[in-house]
Amino acid sequence: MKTRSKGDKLINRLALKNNRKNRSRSLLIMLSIFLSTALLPMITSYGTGLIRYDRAAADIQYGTYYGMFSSVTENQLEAVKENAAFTDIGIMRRCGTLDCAKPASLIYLDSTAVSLSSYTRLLAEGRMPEKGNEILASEGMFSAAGLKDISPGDRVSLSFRPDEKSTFREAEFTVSGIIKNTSAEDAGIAADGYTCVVTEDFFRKYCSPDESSATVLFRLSEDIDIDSQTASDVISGYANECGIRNSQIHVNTMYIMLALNPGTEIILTCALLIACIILFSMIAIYNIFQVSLVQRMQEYGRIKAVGATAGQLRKLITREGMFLAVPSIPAGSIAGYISAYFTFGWIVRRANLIQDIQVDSFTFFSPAAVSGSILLAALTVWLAMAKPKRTIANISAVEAIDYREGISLNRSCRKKHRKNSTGLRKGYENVNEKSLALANIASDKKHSVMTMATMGLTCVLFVVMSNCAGNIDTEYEARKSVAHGQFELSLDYTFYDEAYPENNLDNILKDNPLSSNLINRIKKIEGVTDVRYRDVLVSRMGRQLDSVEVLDREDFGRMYDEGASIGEFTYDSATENSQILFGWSSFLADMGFSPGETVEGNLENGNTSVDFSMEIAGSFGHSNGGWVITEDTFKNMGFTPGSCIGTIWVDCSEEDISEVEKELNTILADENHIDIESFSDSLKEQEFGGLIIKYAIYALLAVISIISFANLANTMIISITTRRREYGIMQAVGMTGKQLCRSLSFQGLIYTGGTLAVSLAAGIPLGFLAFRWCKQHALFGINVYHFPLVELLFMTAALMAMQLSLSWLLSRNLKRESLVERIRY
Amino acid sequence: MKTILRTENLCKYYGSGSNTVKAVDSVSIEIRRGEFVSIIGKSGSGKSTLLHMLGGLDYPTSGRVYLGDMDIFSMKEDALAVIRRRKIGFIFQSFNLVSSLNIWENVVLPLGLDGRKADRKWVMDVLETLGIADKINNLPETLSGGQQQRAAIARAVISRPDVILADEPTGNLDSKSSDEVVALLRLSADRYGQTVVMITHNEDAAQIADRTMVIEDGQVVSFR
Amino acid sequence: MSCIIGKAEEKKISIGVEDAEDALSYPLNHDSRWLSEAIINVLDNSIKYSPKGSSIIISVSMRPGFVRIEIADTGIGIPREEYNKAMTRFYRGSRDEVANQKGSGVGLYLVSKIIRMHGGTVTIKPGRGTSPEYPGTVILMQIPE
Repeated sequence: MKTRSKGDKLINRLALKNNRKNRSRSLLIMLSIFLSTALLPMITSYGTGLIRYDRAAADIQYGTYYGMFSSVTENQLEAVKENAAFTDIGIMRRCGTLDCAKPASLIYLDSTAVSLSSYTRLLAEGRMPEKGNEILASEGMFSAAGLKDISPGDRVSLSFRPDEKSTFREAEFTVSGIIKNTSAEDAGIAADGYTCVVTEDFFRKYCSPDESSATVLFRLSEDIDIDSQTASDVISGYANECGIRNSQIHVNTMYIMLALNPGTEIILTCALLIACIILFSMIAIYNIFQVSLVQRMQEYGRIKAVGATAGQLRKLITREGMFLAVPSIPAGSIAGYISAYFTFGWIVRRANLIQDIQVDSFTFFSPAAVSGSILLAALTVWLAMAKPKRTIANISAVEAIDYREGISLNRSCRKKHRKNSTGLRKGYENVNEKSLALANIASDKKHSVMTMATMGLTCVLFVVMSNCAGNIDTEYEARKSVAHGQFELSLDYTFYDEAYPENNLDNILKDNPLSSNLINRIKKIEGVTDVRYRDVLVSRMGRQLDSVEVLDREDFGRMYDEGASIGEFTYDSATENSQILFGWSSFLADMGFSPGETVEGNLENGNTSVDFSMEIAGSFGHSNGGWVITEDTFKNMGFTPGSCIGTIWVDCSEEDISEVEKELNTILADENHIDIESFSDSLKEQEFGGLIIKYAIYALLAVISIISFANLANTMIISITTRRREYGIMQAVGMTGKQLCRSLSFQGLIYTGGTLAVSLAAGIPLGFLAFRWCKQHALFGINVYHFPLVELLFMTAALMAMQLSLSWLLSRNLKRESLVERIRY
Repeated sequence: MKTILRTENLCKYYGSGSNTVKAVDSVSIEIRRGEFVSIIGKSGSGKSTLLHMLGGLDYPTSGRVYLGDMDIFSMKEDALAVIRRRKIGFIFQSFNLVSSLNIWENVVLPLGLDGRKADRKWVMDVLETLGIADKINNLPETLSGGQQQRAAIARAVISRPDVILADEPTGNLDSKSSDEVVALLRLSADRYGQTVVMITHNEDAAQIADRTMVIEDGQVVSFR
Repeated sequence: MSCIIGKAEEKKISIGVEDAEDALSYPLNHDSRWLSEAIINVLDNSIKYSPKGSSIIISVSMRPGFVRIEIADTGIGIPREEYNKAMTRFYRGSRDEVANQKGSGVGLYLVSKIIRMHGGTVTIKPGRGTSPEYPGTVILMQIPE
């Protein structure tokens, strides 16, 4: 017993001494373990954090219903209630609209619907309306109705009508509660419309179930097997049983995905991504341990020669590794977790500003994530030591002392594993430090290629993501709301208002508030630099009314470029062939139209009506109106530009924005049918969104860069460490310090060159394709392709700086060791 | 005969105080041009240290080394490296060659580092003398120990240095290869007119030399 | 040559050549007379200082760039410290047995000179004899092609 513990203590001391003796080597290893370990909890924390955040947000934002059926008739409703598949059925009914400056609709929800849609979380004060004439609305709605400082319990008088056929009438309401402002509203951006909740009593008093169709929220029974990918089919299966058509179905995919199974495909992709990143870090740790393997083998050989058994040596190796890993791994894990926490927290705060939810009640800490990463790192270190343990046990002491990398366990193996299988090399007639660098890389072909490939691939990722991140054009996105200038004034209209026909477009145009008069008044506002307009016509096809926007060449082209359009057409081809374009490509088929089909009817501008028969050339992704014709077609039909203005854009300089806005609001105070929207508000919204995406992408890129730097450093260090003696010999033969540095730099340069070549050759086309894909799917902010020159230059510069400084550092390190020390055998 | 290599009170001490180890203790020797000198002594006698200082690989604690008329330790490190590749040829006991270069490249390395082009005829002549002309495209790992040492000799000879310093060139070789390496050194020195200083523990090898220096405890005790 | 064989027979010493066939086929660029001279001198020495009934073995091998000739006897041997001196002029060693023999002490010196002149080397190596009185000597000659 005594001897064993003594031996153990000796081994411990030896392990510590060995580590301390090679201080710089130990530090390097510890630092790398620290960094690589930090990555793991960062990635896993982000992953779990996102999932938890989404879950918390899901309940709030998406509700807890699986899906929704719209326009449900009484018969269908009965069928749904009787079908055992549907549990928790909540019913929402429209109860009409309020008369106020912005669209405000009245709805009633039963208690199930309230809980399924998580409506109560929107309450700022008070409670849901329960009986009689109670109403729940937001501050914004009240002020749009002309009322201020409303609190629960107040009685208010509002003008409403239960449907479009009736007229508005006054009624008294008791405010039961106030809906929270959206964060946008808090930031000063007014909402576009409001929803107010009334009671069942109200509904029964003024509306009838037959006339007002229901919206049904539902959950499915727990016995039903469903995930986000099968949801659509599963739900429509049951819906069809109840006679509900597919067009009535809306699946709450987000909730299903987040609360139930996200679906195997999504899980797999995420898991794959995480696995890749984890694998990268583990490889980095493993590789770092291989640095100085040669030296360590020689030391172990000497110890073995002195009489240590294989078992004792294994213990020694384990202890050495442990003493390095034990401080670094937890430190790395904690550091990684803390940085993830703070950065993630920042992102959440930002996100809360944009979305209308306050997600503060979720815990970021995931013991699984942190302990998982500690385990993985420890596992990697243990694996990294397996090779030396095995080798030292199987080779003699002398072979160990003589150890060189690549030497296998027995001589016959050695011949087979020779790096260059023929042992011949073509070579140069004259050699200098550059050819030395080339030869070093050529002799290590496998290692070199792998390094350049992995670094190249990570850089490819960098290039592709820069393509996307760098191409996010928030201004472009904002311009989708306000096409020109700083303000957009547009007509607010319907088509089928029977009680108040003056709200219908065809009537509005007869006495258009957006007149040349108005334009003149606007032009006179101080600060206004430009005013543009666009005409809109009313189309009458049979009994269908719709709006037809008149686009000039610029806007036509721009709308086409926005993507998601159907059919090939240009401004000129549409004009030449007097064609008409549909406005919403995703609804083209639904509405029963197809490209090439001819539609007939007449177009009105409030004064004249012109018959038309036009071919549909195709459809835009989305436009402001139902249809589009070119300005030239408009003129060819005999209409005068400016006779039926639908939209006016006002431009001014940035300093004058608030003044001009005030003036515009004054001018438009009495106008009922004009909406005004500000570009700067729209831009603010988009910028928040864009910022988050950009930061997320750049954060990921930073992580990737760190990994690839570690990879490069590691390769160069290994390459040099195994050649220390050779470099010593070369210096003995007469290589100067400068030549040594140049040789190393050249070697690094070749690595950089190879990496760059791979990353650019693969990355640029891939990046462009990714961009195209995003554009086709009209993803956020993807507009015009800008070659990410800045990012690429940055990457190139960073790579070169890395390898230059590495070479310099390493050559200094080499020089510091005395020549003789290195040559000594 | 002219003196090609000369030391003045050359000392190399390690440690301090009572722990001082005098690896080389006040050695003053002269080596004449064209001589073949062998240095023998037991392990730890300081012979390697002396040789390294003779070649400017290691800095003395005190004393000077003159190569021709130059005080080699008055120069900066890079300048010294240049001197080494032009005027001194080194042969070590093992691992002389760069593993990723073939034999030809290894041999012409000193020329290349000096920016000089290799004279094909000259290089082939040396390689043939040393019997490895058929191995010029081989990588060092394919050669036996004896062949590697021949390549090392070739490299040492290639830039026609003033002096060749060999540190136990036969240490790792079997006796027959050992014999040859020594014979080759002698042959090259004679044929190309060079001065050779060779450390060896092998008494047989020392017979080939013109003079033998015996070193004990850092001092030259005899010179025969 | 015949002289030597005669002397050998006198003492009943056998002279053998290893790998006799291959040995004869080795090319020698040089004037072989001097080489014979050298070998005879060495043999003479060996015979002089070897006991009756012993054997002398000559081995010849081809090495890259050299012809290697070893002549091993089991005679009284040469003390290690005297290896260097052994090839100097007029050296005759310090032992009594040597003093008792006839000789001028130029034998090995001549050998060394001849071989040196042709770019080769002569080395004295420890002998392979088994008894302490007769440790033997090995003379190694390496001659470049």
